[in-house]
Amino acid sequence: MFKGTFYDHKVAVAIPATIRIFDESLQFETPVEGMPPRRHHWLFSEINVDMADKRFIRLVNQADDAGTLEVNDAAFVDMFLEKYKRIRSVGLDRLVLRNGVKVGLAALLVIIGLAALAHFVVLPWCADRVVDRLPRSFDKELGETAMQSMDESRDVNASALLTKFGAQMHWDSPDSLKFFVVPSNIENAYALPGGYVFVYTGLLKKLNKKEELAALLSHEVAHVSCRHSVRKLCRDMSSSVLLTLVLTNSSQAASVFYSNANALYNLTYSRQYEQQADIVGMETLRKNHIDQHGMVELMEVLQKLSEKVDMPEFISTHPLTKNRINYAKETIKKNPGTVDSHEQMDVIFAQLKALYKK
Amino acid sequence: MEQQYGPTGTASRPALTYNGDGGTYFGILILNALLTAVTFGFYYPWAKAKKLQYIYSSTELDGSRFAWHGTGKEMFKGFLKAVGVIAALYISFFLLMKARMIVPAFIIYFVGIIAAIPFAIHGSNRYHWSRTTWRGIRFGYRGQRNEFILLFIKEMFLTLISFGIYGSWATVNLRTYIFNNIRFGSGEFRYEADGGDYFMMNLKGYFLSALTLGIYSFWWQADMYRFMVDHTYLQHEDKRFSLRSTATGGEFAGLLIVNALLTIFTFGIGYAWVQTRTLSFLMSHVEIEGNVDLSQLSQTEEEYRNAMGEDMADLLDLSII
Repeated sequence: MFKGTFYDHKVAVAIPATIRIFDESLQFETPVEGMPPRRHHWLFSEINVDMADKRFIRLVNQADDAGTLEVNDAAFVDMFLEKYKRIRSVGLDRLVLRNGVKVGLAALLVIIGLAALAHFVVLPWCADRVVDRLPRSFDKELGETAMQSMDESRDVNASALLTKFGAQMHWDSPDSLKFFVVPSNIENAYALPGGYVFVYTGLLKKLNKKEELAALLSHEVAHVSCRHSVRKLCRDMSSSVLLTLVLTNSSQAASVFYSNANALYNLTYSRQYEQQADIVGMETLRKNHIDQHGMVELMEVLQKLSEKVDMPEFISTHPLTKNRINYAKETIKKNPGTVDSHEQMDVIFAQLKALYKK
Repeated sequence: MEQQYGPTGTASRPALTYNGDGGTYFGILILNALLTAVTFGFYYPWAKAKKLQYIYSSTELDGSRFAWHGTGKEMFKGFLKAVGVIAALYISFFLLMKARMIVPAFIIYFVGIIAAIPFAIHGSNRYHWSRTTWRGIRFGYRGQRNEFILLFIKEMFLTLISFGIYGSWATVNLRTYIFNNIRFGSGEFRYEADGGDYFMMNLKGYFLSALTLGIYSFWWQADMYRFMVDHTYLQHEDKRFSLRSTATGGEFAGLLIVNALLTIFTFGIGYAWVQTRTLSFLMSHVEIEGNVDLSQLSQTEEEYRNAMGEDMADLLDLSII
């Protein structure tokens, strides 16, 4: 026997009720003045259940004996749900009402998991599929636009020599490649989508052997042939779509958090790309019968340059040079190649170096 | 002010409280978010029903809880209708633009949107109040749609041509119309306020907030809340309940500052607790006093299950109730 309150849907009078639960129904009695109590019999199939928390339940009957029964008793709620759920399934939300914040936290973890899955697996996968469908001419246009907007001065003589040097090698690239030398003290080189490779004189001066230059060009051309810029563009775009979703659905603070995490994660993208460019570049060297140690030597040159600044790997765009040297050496061990002498390349390299020997 | 009581009425002070618990509410919201995400948004009406069910059931008047009877199915149907209307509006706009009929395109678009707002407010009130009960007695909204749309357009027009000065009067007039049409069974709500008073209060609030670099805005907030609560009455036959807000500016400042900190430092996850705190604050600062016998309220309002206005209000991002 449980105590509850009955409302008859006619007036807002609280009528005390004594309730008994059966397997498929419940029975309760309400007092009538000067007469024996009135007996109500409700089938589970004709009532609506509204559970507010683990202590309170509201049963509404819209059938002939219309009314609302409210019970504020945890033991009743337990016993009633035990019988009731044999007929009607108990939804997830009832679980929340009974267990509160625990279910909420579990659901939160699932959401974070889904979001992470979407971000780290689904979105990059989709972006890569999009890139595979984009025509190569898109890369070319993108590269041309970028080149025009940067408008860097070129060393015509050196560029011609570099083009000649590049022509000595066979490239596995569907793009027509163009090589340029930019007069500047920056010790760097880069490639634009569509096959435009730029080498700064600052870096060119530090190179000692033709193999190092060949390795440098192979690395940059690998960026182009793997379409890294376009891939990065598509991934960035897809994460900005996710960002907008986060922005519209939650607070400002969460979106700032997300964009910071995303910026850090984008650096790991770029490290993955650099590693791929190294490995593909070494494959190019191997196919051209150029000594793959050129890549290792190139990295050693770069290491000397970067010794001044010591950055932890997680904020660096390139994999740490030590790591690069290690996996480059391992790659050579796994895939040894034959080496031809390539005298013509030596000659061109010497001419290039001569331009800057003063 | 001394309250005059009839011979049968004795003064009573029923309490209004919110007993919801932030953790449980958090669970409901997060579960809703999860189900809404995996169903690509289609769960939204059911999510809303679950949320409202919890909030209403956690609100107590005189020891009895309110109940929300709206269902996801009703709101889903309403959602489809509302999307249909708004889509029709956009499509006609674009078709007219394509046909280079720019002036009629903009007229249709703006008239459509301007009419959609009062339409949504009206429909939302009808649905919302009809699906709310207390001790089995339904609330109701008896406003007339066309009457309200005309009133709304008139008040908005006057606000526009007076550069917003009339806004205070518009707010009071619209609120009076809506409140006076809300029924609590056989009980009737009344809103008795003067637009001029509201204007003076807002004027004072505006200038003092500007002068104190926003610090006074908490006291202004408290004034606005008091202006709404203190002018609201519940009338039943010849008996009456008056409402009174006891929230002070200082208390509002405490509430809103802690809410802001809670939101920021939990990256928004604290939203459930913020809302729980707010509801609990607003309700516990309302004092009800008068001689209405709540147990005499009888069932007078019909059921109304069309949720189109409710959903349109959501789509237009209006927060009405």
